[in-house]
Amino acid sequence: MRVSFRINGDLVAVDVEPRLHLGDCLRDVLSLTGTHLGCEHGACGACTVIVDGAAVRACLMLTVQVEGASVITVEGLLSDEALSPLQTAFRKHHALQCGFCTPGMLTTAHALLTEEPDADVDRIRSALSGNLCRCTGYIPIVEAVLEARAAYRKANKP
Amino acid sequence: MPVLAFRLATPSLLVDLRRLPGLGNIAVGDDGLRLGALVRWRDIEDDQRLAAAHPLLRAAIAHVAHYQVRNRGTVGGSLAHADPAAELPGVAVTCEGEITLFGPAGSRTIRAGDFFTGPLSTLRQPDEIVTELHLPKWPSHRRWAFRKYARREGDFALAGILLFYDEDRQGAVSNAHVGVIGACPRPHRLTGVETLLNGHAIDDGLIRQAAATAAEEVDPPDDLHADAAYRRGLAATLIERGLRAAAQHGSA
Amino acid sequence: MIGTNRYIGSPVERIEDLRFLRGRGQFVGDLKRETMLHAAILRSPVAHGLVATIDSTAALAKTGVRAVITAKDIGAVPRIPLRLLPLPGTERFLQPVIAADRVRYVGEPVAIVLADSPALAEDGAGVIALDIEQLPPVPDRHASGRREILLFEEAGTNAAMIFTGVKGDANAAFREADCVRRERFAVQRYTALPMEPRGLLADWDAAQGRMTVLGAAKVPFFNRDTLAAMLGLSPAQVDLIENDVGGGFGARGEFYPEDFLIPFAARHVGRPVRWLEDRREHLTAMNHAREADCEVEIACRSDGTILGLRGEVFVDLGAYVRTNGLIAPRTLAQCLTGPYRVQNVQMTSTALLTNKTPSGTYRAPGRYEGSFFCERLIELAALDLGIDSAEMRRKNLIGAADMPYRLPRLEPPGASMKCCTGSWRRPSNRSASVRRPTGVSNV
Repeated sequence: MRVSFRINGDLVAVDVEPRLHLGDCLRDVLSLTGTHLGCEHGACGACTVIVDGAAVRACLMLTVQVEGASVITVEGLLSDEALSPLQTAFRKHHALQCGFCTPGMLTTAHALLTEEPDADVDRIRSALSGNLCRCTGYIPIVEAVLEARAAYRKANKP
Repeated sequence: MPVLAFRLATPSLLVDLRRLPGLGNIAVGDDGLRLGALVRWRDIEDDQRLAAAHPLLRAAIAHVAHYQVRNRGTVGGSLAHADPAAELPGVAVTCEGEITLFGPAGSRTIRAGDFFTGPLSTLRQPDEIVTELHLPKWPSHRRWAFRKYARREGDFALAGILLFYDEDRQGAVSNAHVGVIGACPRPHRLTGVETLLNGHAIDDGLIRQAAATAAEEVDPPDDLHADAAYRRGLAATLIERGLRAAAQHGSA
Repeated sequence: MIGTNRYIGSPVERIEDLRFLRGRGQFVGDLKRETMLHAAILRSPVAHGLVATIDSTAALAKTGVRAVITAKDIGAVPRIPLRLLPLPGTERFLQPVIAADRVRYVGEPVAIVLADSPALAEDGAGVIALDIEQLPPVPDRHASGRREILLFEEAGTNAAMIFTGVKGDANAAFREADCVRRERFAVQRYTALPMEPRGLLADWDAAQGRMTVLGAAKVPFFNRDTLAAMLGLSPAQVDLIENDVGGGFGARGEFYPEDFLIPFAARHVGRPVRWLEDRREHLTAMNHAREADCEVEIACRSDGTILGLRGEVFVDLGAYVRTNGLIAPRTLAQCLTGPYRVQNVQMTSTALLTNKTPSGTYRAPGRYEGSFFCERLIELAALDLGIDSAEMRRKNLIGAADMPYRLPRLEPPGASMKCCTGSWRRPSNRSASVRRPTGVSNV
């Protein structure tokens, strides 16, 4: 089936089996391997991408379901080589070790802070509760997201 | 999708309902609340009218799964899937909701209490789709509570309770509705607890009795996550906490 | 003051974060080769059984399926050697890289399907007709010890190894003690669950006679040498390359069946082969850990001085002894006393085979279980004695004067850890300022 959608701002058209889930499409058809597959049944959050502004699990969507939609992956979180404020905060707070859960953490945090730049620590922890990490113990991730809020607040001001 | 990923089901045809018109509305009216099958949890969370129009629904939905799943999960999907620990079926049954189905023979409406027949089983025929959930109108002075217990945020409930009641002119409980999820093969009302509560004023003694009655009335499974005795205990504790919260604050 | 050191004491940012944050990590699933085939592994659905037939006809007829490999195609099926503690007697319990006539745990590899895509490979695996005559399983270490059902009949036992740790005279210490406390404890089965499931990408260059395997981790040199020997190659012909790795925790990186099967498959079909484990597969295929129970007792003076520790530990090791499977049982026999000065020790640790996924190391192997057993016992003894448990611990901690500290003598010989040397400061008295601590523990 032919599916066309926007990926990180660019219009693409792919020809895929209907059963191909979005995560596999991004990784294997579009070679955007930043989105990771940790469980393929919606439990771990490593595959989180942003579809039409909402953080979703790429393993729980079939590719055909993003027809006409706008998809943002971790690769699309910045448009040039510099790290975004969120990514900079992650690096500063050592919010990653093996790096496997990191793309999902970034996309979830980005979606959350874009809508709710004033999210408090409880809200952040709640929104990130669907993203598992086996390395960091989560605290540095939460601290990084808290620090990144300032940049999203600034971005929201007209 | 996990069912497909695990190859537990291998359908040869999947139909995307996304483009069916008219199934994505939330209508608040004099006859209550109507949720189209394509309404997502996120839509419910974002709809400010629901804070007053159906606070129990709103409270329950906030506990569904995780942030990312709440962006996608739907009313129709949850009702059709009928997980015994799921929140929306619990709301539907506790609030005496009605579920509308549509198929080749036309439309039919089934009471939520009859719709769920067992774990992952409903009266929906294979050639029907869920189109709407209707919940009766919610009066403003109603007392209510939602309590769920899971080991981690986002897990399915090991046990969850939903309850509401109104007060008659003497301040006694009337119209009590108490429902359970997670500690049972399908969501159902605890009519023994309801009978116990109706006509009486809420006090410590009544709350404790209600909790004990709940423990006896539920019929929980033994499984990997908890044995039956544990779930009975949970149900009792949650009933107690829910009733206390409802009595003190009116809502919780 | 200008220091010569810029790093110690500074929060140094990592260079690898730059690629991880941009989604440009190079995990094995991110790597590909032109013309590569995808592998799916058919695994035993039963815990214990005799393999009657494996019929691949339907699988080979499926679109996109290029080959199905079973033990028959491999011929003499190699067994996975032990990297650590290859003690006499263990050769009886090593895992063959693929099941030939018998399966001993759910998840044991039975066949490999190679196809044009992972989904097609799984389609193929789904229609292989696997006929296994089920045998009654050994579900736990108690059944294992009763020996009514043996996993390896020729061995005549399910006890893969028995370790004993002996120091001083425990029996005398217990006779003289003011207080003895005896208890049973158990730790459940764990799995390391790294966020990235395993994967391998094997590329056989027939012209050069070189095998390249991507997706290695932790112990690539041992694995390279082992693989080379299994493939009949010299180590110089084999390269194992470690790229980015999504967590190890002691479980990833050991030599697993797939570490032979995937390279073998690549050479067998003459095309690169990539295998990526999915999570459900991972839960049965990757090493489990920590399942152990014990009956232990502690002997003390009334002032809380620990005189002795003795008891028995039983480790549920799963169906085979894998590359580092004996580490935890060994450590339980020798190091259960942890950081405490105990002059009289008698510990027996038995590793028992069951029809479960084989066990290996996971984060402080043997220490986690041993700490729980020992610390909990101290806590209960302190309660019995009516003394503060933190104080009892402080009193018995190994100090500078005890160095080098002598560990119990371990049997069988050759399995022993080295003695502790060095010094450390006693932990601070912070716990005294914490209101009613529920416990203090040293790991």
